[in-house]
Amino acid sequence: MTPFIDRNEDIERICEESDRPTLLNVFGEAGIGKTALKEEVKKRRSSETIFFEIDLSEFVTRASLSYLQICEAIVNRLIEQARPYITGTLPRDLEDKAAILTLKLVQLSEKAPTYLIVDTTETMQDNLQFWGWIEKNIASGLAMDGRIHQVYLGRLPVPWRRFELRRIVHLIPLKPLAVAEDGRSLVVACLQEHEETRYLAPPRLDAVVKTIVELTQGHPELTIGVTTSATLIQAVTDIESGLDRHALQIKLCREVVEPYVKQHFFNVDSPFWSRILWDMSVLRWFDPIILQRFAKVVMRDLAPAADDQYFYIDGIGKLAVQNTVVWYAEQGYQLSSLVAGIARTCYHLLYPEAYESALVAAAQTFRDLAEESEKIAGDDQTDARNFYAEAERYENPELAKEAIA
Amino acid sequence: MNHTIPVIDDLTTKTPNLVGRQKELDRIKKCLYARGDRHFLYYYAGGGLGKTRLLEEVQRLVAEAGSEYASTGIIDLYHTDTHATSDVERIIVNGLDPAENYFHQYRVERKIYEHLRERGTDPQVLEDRRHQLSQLFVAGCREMALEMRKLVICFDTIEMLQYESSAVETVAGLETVDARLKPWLIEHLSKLANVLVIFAGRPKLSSPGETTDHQQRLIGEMKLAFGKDFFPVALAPFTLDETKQFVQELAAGDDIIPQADFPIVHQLTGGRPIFLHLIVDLLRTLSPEPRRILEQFQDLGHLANEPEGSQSLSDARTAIEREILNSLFNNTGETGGYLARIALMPKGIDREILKCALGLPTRVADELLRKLAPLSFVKRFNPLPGTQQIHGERLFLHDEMYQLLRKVDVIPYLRITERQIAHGLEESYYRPQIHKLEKEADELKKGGESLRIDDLIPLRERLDKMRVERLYYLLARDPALGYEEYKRLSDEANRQRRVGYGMRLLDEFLRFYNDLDRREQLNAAGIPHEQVIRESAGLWVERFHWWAQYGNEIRFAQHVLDHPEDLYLRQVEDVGILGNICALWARACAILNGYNAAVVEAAQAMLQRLPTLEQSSLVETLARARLETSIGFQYRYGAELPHAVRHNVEAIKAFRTLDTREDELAIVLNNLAVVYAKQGYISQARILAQDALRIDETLGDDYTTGLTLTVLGAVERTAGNFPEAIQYGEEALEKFTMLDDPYGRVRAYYGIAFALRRMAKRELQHDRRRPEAKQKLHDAQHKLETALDIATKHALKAELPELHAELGKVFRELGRVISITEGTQAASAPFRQGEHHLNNALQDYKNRSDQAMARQDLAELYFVSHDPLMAEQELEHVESLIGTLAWAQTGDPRTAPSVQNEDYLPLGKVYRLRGEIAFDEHKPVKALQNYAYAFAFFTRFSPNSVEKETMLQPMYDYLRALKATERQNLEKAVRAWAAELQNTIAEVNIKPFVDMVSDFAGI
Repeated sequence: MTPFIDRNEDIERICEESDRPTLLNVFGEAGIGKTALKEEVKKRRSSETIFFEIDLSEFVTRASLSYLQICEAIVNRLIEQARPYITGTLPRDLEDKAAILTLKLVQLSEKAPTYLIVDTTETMQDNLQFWGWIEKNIASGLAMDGRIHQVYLGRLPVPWRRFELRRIVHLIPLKPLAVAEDGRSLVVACLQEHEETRYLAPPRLDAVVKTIVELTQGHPELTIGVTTSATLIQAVTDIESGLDRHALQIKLCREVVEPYVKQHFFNVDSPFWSRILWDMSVLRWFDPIILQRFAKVVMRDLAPAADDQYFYIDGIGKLAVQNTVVWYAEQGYQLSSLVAGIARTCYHLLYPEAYESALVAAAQTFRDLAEESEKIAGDDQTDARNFYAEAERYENPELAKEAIA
Repeated sequence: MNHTIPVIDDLTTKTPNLVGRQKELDRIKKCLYARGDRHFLYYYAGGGLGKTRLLEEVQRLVAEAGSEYASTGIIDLYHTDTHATSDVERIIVNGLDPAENYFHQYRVERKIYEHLRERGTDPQVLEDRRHQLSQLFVAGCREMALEMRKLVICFDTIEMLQYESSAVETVAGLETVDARLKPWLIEHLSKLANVLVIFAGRPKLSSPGETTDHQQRLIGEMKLAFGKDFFPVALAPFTLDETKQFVQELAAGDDIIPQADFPIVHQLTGGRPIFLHLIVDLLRTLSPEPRRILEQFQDLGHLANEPEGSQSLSDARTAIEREILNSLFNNTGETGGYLARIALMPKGIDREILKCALGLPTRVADELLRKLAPLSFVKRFNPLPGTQQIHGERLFLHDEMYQLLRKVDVIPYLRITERQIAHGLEESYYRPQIHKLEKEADELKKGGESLRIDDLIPLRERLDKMRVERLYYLLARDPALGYEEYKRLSDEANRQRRVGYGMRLLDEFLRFYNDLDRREQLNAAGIPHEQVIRESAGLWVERFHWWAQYGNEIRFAQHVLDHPEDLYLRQVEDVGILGNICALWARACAILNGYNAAVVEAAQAMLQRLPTLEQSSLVETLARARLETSIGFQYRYGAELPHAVRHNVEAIKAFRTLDTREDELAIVLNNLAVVYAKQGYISQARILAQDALRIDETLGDDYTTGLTLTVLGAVERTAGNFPEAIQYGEEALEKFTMLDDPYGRVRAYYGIAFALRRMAKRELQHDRRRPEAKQKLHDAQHKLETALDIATKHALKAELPELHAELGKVFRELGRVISITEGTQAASAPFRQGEHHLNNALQDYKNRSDQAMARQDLAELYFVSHDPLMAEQELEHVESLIGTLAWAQTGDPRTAPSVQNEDYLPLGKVYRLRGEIAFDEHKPVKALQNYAYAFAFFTRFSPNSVEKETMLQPMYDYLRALKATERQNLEKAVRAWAAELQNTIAEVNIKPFVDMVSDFAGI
């Protein structure tokens, strides 16, 4: 059982009593704590609360199911879970069956607090037919009347299209733990859980916490993974004789962080994009053009033809859709700061040369852009100044470190 | 996994029903059904208020009204297809009358005009025909309007008319030049009857520092032109109720905005339909959490009655815009990435462009276009009939979206991205397309068949438009490079007399340049505003010059030369530009008013200011070449031949170092050939004119080829090779007839007539073939009469005296032949006519040398009409004109009289005629003495003068008739006389002449 830290505000929002139906959409990167949050909600709600739960990953892993078959499996699963509360036979037709089911659930919610929790929504993220069916036949019905709490959890918000749902949807983005307090608490809790009392006394504890949170940036699942890894446990003797934190971090990175990043954050099919993601982690922001220029410098061997803008626009577009790690913000696209922080640290520790050359390439890219901007921009040299400042950030080891921190 | 998020399919599309414009529709209907009346409605409003939508509704109304109502469709001035007056003219004609029942004469003349322009004709011809076409256009519209119930003409995005001006145009008062769209539209539309003309556009705001109120000015100009038929209407934003109705229609049943929030939504969107679309899209599709937006509306509720212009209202609007744009980027999948880029392609997109600029595979490009096409903020543009289409359907973002997406914080490194896109488009789309078209045009030109012209004309227009579009992207990619290309293309367009193309280029450049950010970009690229202004001044002088608007040219150039500081022209640094302006001005002055010493002096002074050829920049070298050409041209007009030779040689030297001005080089080669021929240097003249002909034929310009053929004719004529001269003349005439060029035709007729007369005269001297000679003279007479007719009709005043003089000579020769064959009595009529024409010429000739020649011809006429006294009187008149009378009577013939070099030609002719008179009076010694004078003067005029040869025949004829002893006595007398003068007259050795007399006497 993993300890649960610092989600009180979110939990209260989810547990809040309401006399109207609610629709909550919790989202955040892999391992950020969605499932833990769900478990915590279940724990905190009164015993009379009724939970209906669906984990979409369960259905998607079953190969070659059509969206309708998945919908049917979901309805059947819900009926199964609702058996103790509803009586009578249900029609055979799927849509009719779903209609009756939702009606009964709404009725049930009048008597007792009722939750429908749908987890791992990202697995069906861009199957709009699936969501269209769910919206029409389940979610909308539950949002009309009664006071059912629908909670959807996934890496990205569900693409809601019906206005009756869009109107009430409430997004709850999950953030990483604040490193100084909650990160530390999580480490302590994990150590206690595993009865690693040798670490618990300060100043040894401080050294351990620092070692861990630098690597995990407050990412809960990764923090737990690192804290409970065999490597860390075995390092206790080193700590007594004076800890070589750097060596330990490299070890932890290799054994825990890098595999985690690859599996959960940078899991894309294309060799170009899986590699460029690591390099992208040094960039604070980018767009297809910047990335194209950067890639040309940093990975000559893999970068596609110079004028293939489509490759980059499309590639970033796909990353933004597929992953939780790429977002468009005010300045352009960027990696989620949490993911970028973790990947960057790991990259720095494990592949210092590649990391350095990525920084040099970034500096070079922005310096070139700055020079070009200077020539074409006229009086407004804001772009050029920004590009120069950006280049300096990558050139200056202190500033680069700051960026990592 | 399917990576596409088809959320874009859920965005709102254009509404089928027009909301909130009933009052306007009623007004339009009333105008539409008021047969016979004319109305000019100008709808103006900010972006996204539904102006285009209203025009679309007008098209529907016209279609419903039946076949007796004709509409042009919407002529959107945004597009490259509608930049030039000729485009708009043709779009209106073909839009109103697709079945071609009207505008017959217009269409015929248009075709001829295009042919002429393609072949290259005298600029004045093109200019006249362009005016004539516009008149036929108006006449066609008026004729059609008589039979139809109403003609409807709609213009969109007319704010583009307000971008047509620039500082140069304002300073120089050029805004009324009718090659520009605004003055053309205002002038010609105001002449139409039974029309409903609807203009729609947003008022152009003044740039910082500008004092002109563009909107008031446009309205003022329209009011002045259209009078009581003009109605400017500010298109109001939607009212609150209309906003509600519109949103409900868009939301298709979803109650997406609570009633209570409508006032703030109305306030935030300013009642502008385009924003209502986007708000609906935001709530219904784009925002992942619309509840937050609705809450935001509630929070902002207190701003519902905030006055326009308040900071908090403007902040709130910006916040909502930001929501919309961030959502567009984050929640439309890859489309978001493309939208930002499409905003940087203001010439629109199609499959090919997406492929070339962004590298999209065809399938993806098609899919993107399919998704974008129906969206509220996307406009489709199908090229209008009548113009040469450079592309099929293209999609454009609504201009309000261009503004929104181009905001600095939406595309944070806008310029770099723009540059990359522009580079991609320029390299992969425009360049290959243009290259392909150029190749096709070259192939056609090589064919040389007149039939191919029909293929070449549309090809050329497409090519021009492609180049204009490419110019925009070049400017965006690299302002300095783009600006250079603008100047290069403008220069090319000018010299090919392509008025429409030149105006399209100017228009495209000004649209770019009138944007202050762009101006800054050019400035950063090392091209300050002052430079653009001063170079624009140069370009305008060039335009006027090559379009043959010499009056405008002289006026404007004079202003620039008098007040260079008005256009930031600096005396030292910009001497190249000033030199070019001065050179073209001097030439225009010569073309309009002939030789003027003050003009030559001014041009010489400018020439002095230029650095040496070795130290000159390209512009300065061109200025030198042109100044030398113009001075040479002036001197040629002033018959100062050695000066003309010197300056033309310098001009050729300068042009040869430039290597890029072959067409202008050919002009100077011709000028020099003419001067050489006049001086009797036939071989040199022939070589130069042949070189010019080679250049003209390589460049494929029929007009200049015709001119060179005329020059070659003149050279051969001077050399006495009359059949060749006639042949060249006829070839030239054929070219000029094909080009319908009056000036060329006049010159060709003149050349042929001249050669015919000289041929006839020679035959008469031989006493042979009198009937043929007479026939030739009649031919010459007819040709000259035709030429006089053409010159009078086309006001070619400068050509008249020479034509009269030549006709006078033809009549003189006719008189001569008739007096031989039919007697003196019969010859009196042609002699009187000859006298009349020569007197006409005398009156019109301004130049002393020309007058002297005409008087000399008159003297010859009197002589052949048996009036030697009158003849001698005229000859004395000539000598007094030249200033040699006193010398002739009292001076020492061995010393040269102080006369201008070119005066020796008439002077030689005077003495030759005196010789002839003496022969006629059987005073052979006196005759030969006069011939000796003539020999000396012709030699002074030019050692090679062909005139010397003309004395041989009469001398031989006279000597042959004498007895041997008489011949010997005569020879002795002449030899003794010459010895007394030490064989020298006017510092010329006359020994060769005396020897020739000896030879003839011995034969």
